[in-house]
Amino acid sequence: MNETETRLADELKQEADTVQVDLDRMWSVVQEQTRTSPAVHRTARPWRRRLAPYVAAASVAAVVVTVAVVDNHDRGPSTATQTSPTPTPAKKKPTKAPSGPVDQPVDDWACAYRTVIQPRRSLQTYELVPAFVDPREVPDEAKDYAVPRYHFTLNGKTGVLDYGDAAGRRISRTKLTKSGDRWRVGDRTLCSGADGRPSPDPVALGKYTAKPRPFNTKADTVKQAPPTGTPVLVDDRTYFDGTGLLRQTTLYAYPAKGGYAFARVPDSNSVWVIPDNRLGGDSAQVNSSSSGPTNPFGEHAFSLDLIVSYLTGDRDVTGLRITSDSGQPQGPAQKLAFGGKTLYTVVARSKIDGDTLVTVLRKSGNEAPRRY
Amino acid sequence: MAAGAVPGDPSFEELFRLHAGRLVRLAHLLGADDPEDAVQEAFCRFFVVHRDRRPDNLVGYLNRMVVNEVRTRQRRSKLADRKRLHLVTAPPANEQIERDESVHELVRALRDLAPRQREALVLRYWLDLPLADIAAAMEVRLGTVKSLISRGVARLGQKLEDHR
Repeated sequence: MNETETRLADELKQEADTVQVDLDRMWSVVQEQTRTSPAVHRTARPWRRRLAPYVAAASVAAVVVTVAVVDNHDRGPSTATQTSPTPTPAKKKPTKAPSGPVDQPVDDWACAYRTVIQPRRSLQTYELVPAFVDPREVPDEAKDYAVPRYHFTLNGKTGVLDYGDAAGRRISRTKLTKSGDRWRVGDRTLCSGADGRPSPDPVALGKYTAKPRPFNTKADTVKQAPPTGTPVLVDDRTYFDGTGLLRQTTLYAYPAKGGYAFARVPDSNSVWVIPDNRLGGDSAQVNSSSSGPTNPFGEHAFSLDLIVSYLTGDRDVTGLRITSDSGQPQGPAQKLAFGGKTLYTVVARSKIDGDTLVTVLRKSGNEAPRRY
Repeated sequence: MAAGAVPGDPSFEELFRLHAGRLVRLAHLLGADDPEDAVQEAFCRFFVVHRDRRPDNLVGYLNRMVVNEVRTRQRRSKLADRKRLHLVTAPPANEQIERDESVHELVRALRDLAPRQREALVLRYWLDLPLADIAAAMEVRLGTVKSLISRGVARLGQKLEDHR
């Protein structure tokens, strides 16, 4: 080491030694944040990445998803599909629901809006993880997500894999490249809401798009934090999953021991109890399928926008305000009666890490904004 | 159910208590405005991402998380500075002077270096990390680390000379 290096090492050590660390306080904060409101610490990319480790058994997921698909088609096409700019074939009457994915050619797109996604990336390196399909077999992903129809079109060293809905319309198209004797999965174009958003109607918080799914007291997550009062309907909407299938999800808030919790129907895999007078939220983890190597787009579970919430009986509080540093529009707010208290919710639409600011509004003076 | 980082999760708590202090000091030397908050955030992320499995090189991984967290915050802070007035109240002027006076000459000069040079120097001369580990923590090539350290030391030496 030369003189500069020696001196730098000494000064760095001295400077570091001046830092006093309150480990107990920090540990309390970490405990609180990881237990009560993990959603609010989730940010754009990591937030999506965290959607990956779903643990629902594939068989259970398939059943849940099949129910969702049948239900969705009973309700007819979404807003997005109704406004398709490209001529779509006359809606075919869905025949009897197939028992699994069938290999049949698909027609034109089922939807007006589409987006392009890439296969999942490594959590460690953030590199694309190679994923392959075998055109001689039903794609595992199609089975896991209960995609009604699939079809490979191969041409030399390139090809595409189309997924179709029950009516035979295309819901996604995935590029394939031959790699040895296998076919590597590339970019996927799939149905989405406007501007690539997951939901056809992403700002309809509290404005129900269909008959909400009933609250399920027997759901595994609800059993972990049982209700101590009546659940309140917070949101109900359709969204597109990673294969392009249209699904429905309903969100309830319900009182539980120690505060309140959010529960999604169909069931999500986790629940957190959020204390009163504290910002919390639901991160809309609605993907019911696992995301192993067989599901290269599993992490594109298309989490809905983050819903930030605040439950209080304090009449000094008048609401929540949501803004964005980048100037992007944020979602709507709502105020719900909740067992003698008031539950305030806002929708964070910005996907930029740290871009969203939420302020608790008080008559006596607003609280400092919290950044998400 | 995500039980959170409860006391009943000894492995996570042990991990936290073992490494958090060192990581807060690392964040401080890297120039984080709120080092404790940066490390808390890093541990929360770590908890969510790795609740079921731990990376092979745990220490290196934690270093990298903190380096990334500080870097992200600094980037965000720069962007915010460009867009609007400061929302955060700056410390009183006299407090700022006292702080600066307590800082050693080279550490103060370190603040003027490019963020990556600063990261490389702190990881090398405070944590005493091998070059390969620095490259992993910064997610850059080994050659880049050598270059950053070499140029960083040269610039610090120059600043010392200028000061004399």
